[in-house]
Amino acid sequence: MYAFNYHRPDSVSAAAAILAKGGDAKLLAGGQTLIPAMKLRLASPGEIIDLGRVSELTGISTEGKVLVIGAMTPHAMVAGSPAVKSAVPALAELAHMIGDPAVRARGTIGGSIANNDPAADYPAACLGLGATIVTNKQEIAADAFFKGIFETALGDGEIITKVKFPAPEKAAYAKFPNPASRFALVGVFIAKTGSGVRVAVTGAGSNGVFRVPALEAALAKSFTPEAIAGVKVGSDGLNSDIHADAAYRAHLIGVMAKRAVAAAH
Amino acid sequence: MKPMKFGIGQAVKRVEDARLITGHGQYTADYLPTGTLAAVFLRSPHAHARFTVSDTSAAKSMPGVRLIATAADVAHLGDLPCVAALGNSDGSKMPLPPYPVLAKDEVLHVGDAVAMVVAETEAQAREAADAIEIDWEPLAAVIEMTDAIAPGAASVWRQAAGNIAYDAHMGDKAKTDAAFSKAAQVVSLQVVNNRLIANYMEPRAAIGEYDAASGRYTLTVASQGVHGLRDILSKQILKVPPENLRVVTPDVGGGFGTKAFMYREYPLVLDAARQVGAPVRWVSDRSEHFIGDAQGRDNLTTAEMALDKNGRFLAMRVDILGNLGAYLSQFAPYIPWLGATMATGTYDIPVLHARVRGIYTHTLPVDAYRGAGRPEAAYVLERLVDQCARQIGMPREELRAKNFVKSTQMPYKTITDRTYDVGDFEGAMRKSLANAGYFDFDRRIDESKRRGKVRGIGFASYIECTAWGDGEEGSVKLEPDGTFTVLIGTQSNGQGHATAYAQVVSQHLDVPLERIRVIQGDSDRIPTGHGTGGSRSIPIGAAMLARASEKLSVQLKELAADKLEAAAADLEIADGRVRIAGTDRSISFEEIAKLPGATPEKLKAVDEFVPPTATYPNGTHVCELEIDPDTGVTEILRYGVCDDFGFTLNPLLLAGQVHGGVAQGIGQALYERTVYSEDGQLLTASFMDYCMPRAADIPEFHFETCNVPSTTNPLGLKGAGEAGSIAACPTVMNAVVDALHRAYGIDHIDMPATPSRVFAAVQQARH
Repeated sequence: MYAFNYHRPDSVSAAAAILAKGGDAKLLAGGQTLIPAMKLRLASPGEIIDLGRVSELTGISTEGKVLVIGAMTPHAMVAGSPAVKSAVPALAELAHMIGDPAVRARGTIGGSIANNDPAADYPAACLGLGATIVTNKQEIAADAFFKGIFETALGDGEIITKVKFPAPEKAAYAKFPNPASRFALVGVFIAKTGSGVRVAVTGAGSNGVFRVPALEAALAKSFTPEAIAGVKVGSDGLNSDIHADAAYRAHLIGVMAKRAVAAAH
Repeated sequence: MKPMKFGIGQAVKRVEDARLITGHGQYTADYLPTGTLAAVFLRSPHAHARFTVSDTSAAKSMPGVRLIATAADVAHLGDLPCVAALGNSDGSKMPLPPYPVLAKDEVLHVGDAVAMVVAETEAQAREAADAIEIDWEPLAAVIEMTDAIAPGAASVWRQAAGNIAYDAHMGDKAKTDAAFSKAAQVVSLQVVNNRLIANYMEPRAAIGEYDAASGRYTLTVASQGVHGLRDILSKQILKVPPENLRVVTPDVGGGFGTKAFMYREYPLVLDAARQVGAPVRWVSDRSEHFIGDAQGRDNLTTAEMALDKNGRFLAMRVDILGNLGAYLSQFAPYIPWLGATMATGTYDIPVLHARVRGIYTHTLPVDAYRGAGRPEAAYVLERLVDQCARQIGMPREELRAKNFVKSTQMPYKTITDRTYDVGDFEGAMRKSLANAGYFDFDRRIDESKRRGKVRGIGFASYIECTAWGDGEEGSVKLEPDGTFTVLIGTQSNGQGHATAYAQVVSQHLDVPLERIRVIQGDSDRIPTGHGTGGSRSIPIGAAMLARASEKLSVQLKELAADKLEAAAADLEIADGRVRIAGTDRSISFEEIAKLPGATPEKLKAVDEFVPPTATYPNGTHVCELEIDPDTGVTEILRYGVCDDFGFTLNPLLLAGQVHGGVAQGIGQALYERTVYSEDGQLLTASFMDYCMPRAADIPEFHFETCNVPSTTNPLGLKGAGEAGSIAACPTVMNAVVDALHRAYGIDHIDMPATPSRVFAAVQQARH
């Protein structure tokens, strides 16, 4: 690890003020990616702004039919929250599948989304549920937020404050973990909402999380595993690596989609 | 043997555990003498390159930096020796290319060490290492063995034409060819034994100290035995008398063979300590482990069996390519050869020809890893026997029963010149299959089918060799406070030696285990030793300690006889006292230690046990599993073991060894994969990509023994440390192939049977 300056503000505005000074600053929002990268000397930010003491960023509430999760809420809290289990049980289940207990205790939803790792779980939930990402400057629809691997619509000095999830009629997340890392080799989040069906896939795309219109159209007609049995998911734009080639990933999207539909509740 | 409360055969809990699991273990990295400096190593990013260190002056002037060493600075140190040279079949000896302590001018694998930096803190040392300027000229690298032996391949060593380190033969080629030409059927199979990365919990670490006044070095190191390291380090590398070097090994968190070898960091931290006049410590992290430690296995083997029309094995042909990596690690050439000596396993195969070639590639050195050649041999043979059964249409158990060496044939000399003293291979197989519900298996297939899964059952009947070669000397001593001290030169890496050895002493002196201290890992305190490896510590170490303890019990009775005014023959040892049998007249050990006649010689017994030959543990493991054809995921449902370990010293420790070994085998069979890119980058260089077995992947085991006492040591013991990892790979893979064959007619898949590989095989079979 290289040396850096450490800041621990207690409000979003204070954090934003430090961020605005530039100086190669990074927000620390759980640190489950950033800290290992720094330890391996792959990342060397000059300023670390730890959001751990910004209490306004942590917490879970419901506003009507919308579930609101503070950016610094750890995965374990989402996984165990009665409010989440009641409004969007699939989201609690997804949070429980992230990493291991230590990761779930430290990692946060805001950190995960801002990092936009192409194999992370939360981006699939955000895109699949049509979430809105709220920052200190604006509100961004999930469809416009995830811009590619490790790329988001966040601008300079922008801090995610919360994520708003409209409660679906039913939803589920089916994840095929990378055997080694347990990140999603393929993760499929499917939600049936009043305005249609959304299918979001993480882990597989070479450009990060994406939706699958062909599956959405078939499921809109009939929300059953059988409805998508014949839908062929192409392997164009999918990753190939030592764990899975693009064709296998394409196949797994179909398998996980069927399992998610069958499990949706 | 008389049952004693804490003695041999008792399921005593480990005396080590309270200390280790509450964080009170003392591992090498926990030792931090005042003023210790940190060493880090600059390692090659290239698999093969020429290089020049153009400038170290900037690095040298950085804060805290005390020493920078490149090859030119350590020319006074000897090379790392390979102690296991083999002869070629043409009668020539294999050349032994140099393994210098730092690479000079040319690097031969990713991670090859080119410089050492010593600074006040590790962060300073790393910063300085980054500042060393090196000009790299990448060269063509050869990674796969099949590429390495192809014409025109890049060369690792000029001394080794075609990258062949040695080409050795075993057996009789003409007779084998003749047997094959007469055979009713010939079955052949080519299998990969995948390369493994040890991944012990505790990465390696070493601390060098030097006392200028006495000229003595001290190395504290995570090892598998201090004496061998002391001798090689002093005589061959540092070039000082052995008495000028003390090697200490405290607690060790896993070794698996990989911590047994001489590594570059050991002489370098000692030499650095002498130069800078302060202790110098190097602690590997997980990332460095992947590119800094010897790796395991990596064979490509073609095997053929000749059978008569009744399914009797007539002859076997084996062609082993063993990847040795870029440098010859300490025992590297011997490992594939050792495997070949076990090629015929539990079967009566009268004729054999084996060709064993060691191959150089631009990859990390490969050396012994839990089982060391024997897992490779058992894997080839048991996969081949299953293939034979499928091809000739005979049940697997019948084909095995027909060809097993019978217990009535013991002692049985194999065609590879090993003598099995005892064993009941068919008995173990029958018992293990019965336990596993093998003959009811068909009923369970449909249940899987209903859930869309395919089910398979497989087994392997293995035999291995343990505890051969060097003997072990040790001592048991009565201390003034009535406790006992054992000195022994084996080295626990977590196996529980302190418990097992104390049980042996308790058997003869009837004292609770907490009054027996087992001391290992200090070359100053323990006169000799041969370390831990080859499952030798119990069959040799416990056999020796049993004799030493008995000897001491006689000496103590003699001392007590004087005091109690009785004949020594009338005395017995019970409840930690020596007493006149049948009376209440007794004397405690503490009192004995204070008797006027209790000279140091009488309070201590030294013995040595040199095994006349190896012991041969064996048995049959059975695995039942389910494959999800939609994803390729394999789930192990049941795993049963029936093993012959001769004699059980402690059932808990024994089960622990077998469980751990099987888990490692399951890891190799289903998960662990070492992948180098074409240009030699290690792609599986962290747990993000290198998949270890996890607790949830391991089923509940059924474990039982079917012991037939060994005749080659006084306690009848057979080594148990490696058996699990030897049996598990063929057992699991025979079950995987069984499932795939029943459902899709697939009769071969290589390890590791990862989801993507299984899925691809199923797809190919369906189309």
